Amino acid sequence: MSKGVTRRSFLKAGALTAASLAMPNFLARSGGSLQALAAEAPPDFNSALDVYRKAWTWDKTVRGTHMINCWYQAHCAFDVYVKDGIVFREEQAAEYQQLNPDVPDMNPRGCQKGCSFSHRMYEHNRIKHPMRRAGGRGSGKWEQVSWDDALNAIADAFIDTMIEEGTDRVIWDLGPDINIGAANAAQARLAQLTHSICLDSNSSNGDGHRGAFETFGNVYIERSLEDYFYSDVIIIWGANPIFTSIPNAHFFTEARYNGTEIVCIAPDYSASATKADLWVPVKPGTDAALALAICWQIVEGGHVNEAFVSEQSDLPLLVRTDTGKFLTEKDVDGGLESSFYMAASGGELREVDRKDLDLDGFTPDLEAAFEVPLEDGTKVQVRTVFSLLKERLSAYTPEAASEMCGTSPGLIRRLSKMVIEAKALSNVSGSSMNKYFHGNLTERAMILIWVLLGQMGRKGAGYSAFGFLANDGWEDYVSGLRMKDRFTFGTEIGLDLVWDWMKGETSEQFFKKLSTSQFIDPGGNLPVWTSSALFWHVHGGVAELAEQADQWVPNLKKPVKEALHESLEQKWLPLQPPADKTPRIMFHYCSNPLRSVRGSQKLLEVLWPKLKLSVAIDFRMSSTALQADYVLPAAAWYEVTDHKWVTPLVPYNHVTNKAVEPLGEAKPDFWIFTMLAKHMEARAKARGLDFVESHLGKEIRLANLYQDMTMDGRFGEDDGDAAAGAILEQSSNLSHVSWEEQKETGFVRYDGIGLSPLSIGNAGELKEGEPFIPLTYHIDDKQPYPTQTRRIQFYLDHPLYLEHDEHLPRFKAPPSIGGDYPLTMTGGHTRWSVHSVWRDNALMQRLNRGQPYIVVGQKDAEARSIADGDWVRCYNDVGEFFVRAKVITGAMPGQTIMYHSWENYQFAGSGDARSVSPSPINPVELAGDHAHLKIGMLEGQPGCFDRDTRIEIEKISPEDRARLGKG
Amino acid sequence: MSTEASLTALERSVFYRGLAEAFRSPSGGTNVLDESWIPAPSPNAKTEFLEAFEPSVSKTACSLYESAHSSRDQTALFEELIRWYDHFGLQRKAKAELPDHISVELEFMHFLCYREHLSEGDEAALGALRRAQKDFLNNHLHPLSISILGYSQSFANRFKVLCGNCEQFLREHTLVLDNG
Repeated sequence: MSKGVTRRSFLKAGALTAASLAMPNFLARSGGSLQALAAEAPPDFNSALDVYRKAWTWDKTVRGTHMINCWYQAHCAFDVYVKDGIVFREEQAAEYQQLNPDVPDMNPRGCQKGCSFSHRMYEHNRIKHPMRRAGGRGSGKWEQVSWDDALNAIADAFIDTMIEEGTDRVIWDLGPDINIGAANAAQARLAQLTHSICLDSNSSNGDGHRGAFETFGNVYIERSLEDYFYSDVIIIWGANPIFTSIPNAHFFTEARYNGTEIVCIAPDYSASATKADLWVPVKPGTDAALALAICWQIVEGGHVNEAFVSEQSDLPLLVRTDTGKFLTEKDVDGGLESSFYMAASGGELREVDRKDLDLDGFTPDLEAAFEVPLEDGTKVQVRTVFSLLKERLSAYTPEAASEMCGTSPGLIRRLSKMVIEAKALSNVSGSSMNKYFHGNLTERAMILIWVLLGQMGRKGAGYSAFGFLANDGWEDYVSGLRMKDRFTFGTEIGLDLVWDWMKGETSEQFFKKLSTSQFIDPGGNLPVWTSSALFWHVHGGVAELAEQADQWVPNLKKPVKEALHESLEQKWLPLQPPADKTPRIMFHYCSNPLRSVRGSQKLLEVLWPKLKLSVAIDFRMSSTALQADYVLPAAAWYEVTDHKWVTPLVPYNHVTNKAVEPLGEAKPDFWIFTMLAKHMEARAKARGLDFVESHLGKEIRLANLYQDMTMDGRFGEDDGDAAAGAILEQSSNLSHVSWEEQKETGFVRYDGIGLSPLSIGNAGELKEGEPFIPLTYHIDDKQPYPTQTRRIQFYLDHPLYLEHDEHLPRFKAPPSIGGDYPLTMTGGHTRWSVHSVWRDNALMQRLNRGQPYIVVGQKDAEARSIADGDWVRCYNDVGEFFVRAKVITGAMPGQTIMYHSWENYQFAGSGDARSVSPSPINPVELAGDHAHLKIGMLEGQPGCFDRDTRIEIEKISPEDRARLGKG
Repeated sequence: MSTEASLTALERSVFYRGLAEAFRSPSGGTNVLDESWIPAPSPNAKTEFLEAFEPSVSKTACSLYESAHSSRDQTALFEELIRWYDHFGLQRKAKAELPDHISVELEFMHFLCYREHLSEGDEAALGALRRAQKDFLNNHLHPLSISILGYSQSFANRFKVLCGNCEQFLREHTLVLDNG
């Protein structure tokens, strides 16, 4: 700027003469005009200190919560403080009432993550405007666009794809933060009205609890936190609640004052191990050997609860020794293949009652072995499941098991004694075991302990698997609120289900069947789902990474790729769209697959080039949003009113209220999906297009899409609050308190588990003043389980299980996934993250190292000349990544820990923690076409495994580190 | 004394308005500021604006929020700024930018200068307003502009020039207030 030229020359002609106030961000607080305010005498001002006089004043406080999936620890009511349309802070509401005088209350629920959301929602990666890619995918070149432009472009692509290639080419990639509230109902309604495909992310998250599914036919088994106070032994196994369940942890630590003993079984001296009475170290992935050694001690010592296992489990059932199959009525007299037998002492057959577990005084012979004449005139030798199991358990003496799992025989005996002598034995569940390749076997072995001892269905006693508790009005809303009878949903399959129900099937079996139908053809009024793990493996190219799986996993009966192909060919597991059809549009909603999917580098290489459109809907720029074509700004959790699913651990519906307007042009999810329907309807009408036919042969009414979406205008784009209320009003387990009251209190205790397929497996009553105890419908009321034998089932006579010698629980050595390398890369969540939404939160970063690191044991580090804080390369046959080393003394030799959920852009160089995790499918998990081994919501799908990943690490030089660039 | 001293309060108010608009959107400010002071937006201005000022999508971008440039707690900074605005009778609109965005801080200075213009002859009012401007510039806006300028070398020309001229304008205004 040259001197001598006055600055006023830089003002445009006319700018000065027209000078007036132009203040798009402000109002006069008095309510008058800004011009009038400016004309007033200004307040005195002596120094900046004057502005401090109004600290600690608020415009309002509202109740809020976080629509985040912390799963076991989630669901906390907060007071949210607002001034001038800004959320300044939140604090725990701490008004949960004590259930009864015997147990602690839930207060205060909330952790440092929730307490930092007011900060998080205003951080600098908040998305405030719709954006369109302006360069190549991932180039970082974007331009801001209007909502109209974005929605029109997306609507056109959606319609084009439906017409040209099919409705199943449009995919809703749904992450674990979907809320089973209004937001997610709008998405699901749009999906069902267009027959586009929803991904069930539980499988690719590795949270499938496959072992519980195989054993109970159901994964949703969890107690309320208060119940832990009635346990005298609590086993933390496959979990680290001191890290990951912060608001829950006081129930365990306070229980110790009550005389309860805490056991922590983990490879590392974890944060939870430090709070335990007994820490049992076990080599990663070998827990099944330890569990079976305990089972052997139970059986050998004569501690089996024979009445319980006879009534509740398949242990008394007879198995043919020639085929390994259950003896069925069809074998004996040509009757039903689904009818099984047990035996009285002396070899008399007794048919198993499929409708009632009560044995009416009958005592089966648990060790029967005899010959049975068959309908074809031949004879076959049969044995009970218990006798086969006992034989198998004999291989797991403490000494033998110690060789497998590394735990000393003495410690195994000490642990077994504690377990056997416990009056009420419980476990703290996490989702770690599912992330081991043989995690299903481990979980089956763990459950066997509880069942052999009959430690279930009582206060303080029981096995916990996976927690989920939801309203049961959501499906009604998604189906259009057209059904007064929630059992039929107005679908063809609904009528079949009613018929089954009339034949005597339980509500649990009924809704399990409905859940399965949603993966095939839900009959029109519910969305179509598919397994995310299958989707990423087949369409995402992740399966290509596992082509060497046969070298990593010993004794595979056929290559994993071949097994996958066979399962798809035989339609054991449904995949939408099928393998020969290419996905074209993906909506990433509450999801971040480029960070979360094991082997996610393949998605960019294989899937992304096939996509015509990738749309991320989020409030922050995630690793996936950075690779999208459009990014749509979603309202943050204090900017919208809605409610969220919970778990039985905290059986309170939680509500978040709109405290402030969405930042920038951000919009509530409900608005986004409804407006997309509106734009699709308008674009279809402009083309003269009335309908398209879906891949299921149904008519998709494009010209009526908005009308249908809003239920004839009842729930328009701005009516998310009303929709949230309507969902609860339709619910059998949450309609006892009005929506208005729920918004005010922020939390309301469920009065039942309801009929949602996501909850009904808990199978118990929510009684006033009592803790919730799962499975009492079966254990007290003698209702059958939703399994093949209608009992807790340890014997699986599916051909894949027989072929892999997994028909009974057993130990299999963990495979060397990724190649023959000396270190096992385990994982877990941390206190400061749980999921990626917190990982780059500045406040959380200050509480830990703030950048990706791998935990290495001291001896392993010393052997490699690695010091704490050194940069290391972690690698195997599949890939590599670079992080700092965190050297600790508490890791087991040979174990490393790569904690979860760092964003890809937080790593230096091109790789990230997923780059070394090919996660091959376990072939037995491809089973389908079976009485209970079949797909359903969040269960019955192949898992993803990263805990068996083998790696080597090496220190890198400062020069090599510098070449990696920012990270 | 720079040429800044010759500006009237109204002229400064208009400058602040133009600067606020220029940092608010890719082509903002052009109705107020001459092209010799801020280059006309290029056809790629939308992309260039995000590349320059949106760190969530561009690794070389610089945030326009003061909290990104300050060691102070974000919430405490918001609270203090809200109290600044509140002290002078202003309330944040429901859909407003966050209070620490440079465009909002410039808008506040636009208001203070305009109010100074309307207070001509009222020495007490002028004193209070100038002390406030001085404190606000010294504690918030000028340090923010200096920090942003430090990132600007990789920006597209329009935004590089904008950052440079903004910092210089604020520096000169601070000098005027210091000397006044």
